[in-house]
Amino acid sequence: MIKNLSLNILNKVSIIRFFFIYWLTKNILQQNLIKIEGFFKVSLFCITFISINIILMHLIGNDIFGNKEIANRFSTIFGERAVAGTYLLNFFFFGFIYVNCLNKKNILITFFFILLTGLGILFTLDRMPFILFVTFFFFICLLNLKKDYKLFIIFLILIPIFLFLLLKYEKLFTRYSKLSALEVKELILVLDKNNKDTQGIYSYSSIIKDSINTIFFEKTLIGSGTSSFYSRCRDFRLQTQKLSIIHGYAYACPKHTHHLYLEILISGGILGFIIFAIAIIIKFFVLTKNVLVQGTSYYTINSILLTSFLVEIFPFRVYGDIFNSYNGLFFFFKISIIYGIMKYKILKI
Amino acid sequence: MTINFISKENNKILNILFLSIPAAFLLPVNFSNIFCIIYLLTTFYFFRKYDLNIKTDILDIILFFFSV
Repeated sequence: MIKNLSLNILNKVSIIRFFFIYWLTKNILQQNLIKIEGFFKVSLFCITFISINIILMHLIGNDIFGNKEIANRFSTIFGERAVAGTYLLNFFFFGFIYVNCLNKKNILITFFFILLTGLGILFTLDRMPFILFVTFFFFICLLNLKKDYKLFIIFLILIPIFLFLLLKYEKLFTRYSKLSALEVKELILVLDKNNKDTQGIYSYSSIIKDSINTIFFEKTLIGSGTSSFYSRCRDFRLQTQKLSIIHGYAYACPKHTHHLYLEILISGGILGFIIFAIAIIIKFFVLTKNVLVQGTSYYTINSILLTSFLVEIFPFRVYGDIFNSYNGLFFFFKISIIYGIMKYKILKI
Repeated sequence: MTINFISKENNKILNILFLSIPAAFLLPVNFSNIFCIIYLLTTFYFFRKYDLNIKTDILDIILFFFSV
């Protein structure tokens, strides 16, 4: 009992750190305590470094650290964590601000940076980050069509290159041809008599179905706390005796919902979801207003930041557990930086 | 195009920590968590040292209650 209580308190404290990261980072930017230009440069360097490593993994079989392909993923120094695509996608926008807006604008450097990042994301074999990269880069091009048509030309040149690689490179073709039947593999606990671990294969659609069932199973209004999906889904299955057999494997529940909003609905309930949605909607309107209202010199940066925010809150994307340390840090750092830069006009161009 | 900054103090440590954020995500999870703790503590220290107000708006309060 005491052990459970202390674990719960520890869990709560560890979750609150995400809020503090958001709160402090936003304040650092508001009060001009740091040089944000350097942050963009480091983002650019890290993206280039990771992208080159991933391309090297395809060309010579391993990256400069000797990392090889793991479970059909090219995650370079991330190892077993398939987050290289997400990392590149997240920091691409900050690197892009430096290349396209702050540096002496050179269309050739911009082109090579976008090509390198695009290839990096494509070659990680993480499908969702690549789809989001192409979609939202197109969105930036559309927003900047009048001001900077060269970005649209870059987009038009890149699409045939990506399509050629997708069709001609076997690994990419095999991976992306399965897009219609998205599947994930995880080690899951089976609810059989022996209660032993086994390998389960299940689709995203079945996870979403499970999540919705679980939301309306119990604690619908206030939720059941962070990272509680697995235990709640297991309780649901135990009570309703709905043990599924998919692809010949008995399967219980995945570890998390693989979706941002479903995760929020389960952990915070409908009440928590409404609070979160209000915060997101207000932020979205502030960011959109900045794009529309602020002067033309801010326009490109604001449109990139808005796009970066939209990528994060995009509802039709597969998402990691937001309360997991890695994804949580990604999410809260990113929104705090976007909001900090945008609202208080730190950039004077 | 250049950026003008109104730096109140010469916050080298804070600058270095902030600039390390993209690189910190490349580290293994445990090191990322350690970085996160150092970052939080240092930031709090700077805000106290230079007697800076930590501005809070309604969205911060919403997010705080959400995270609790």
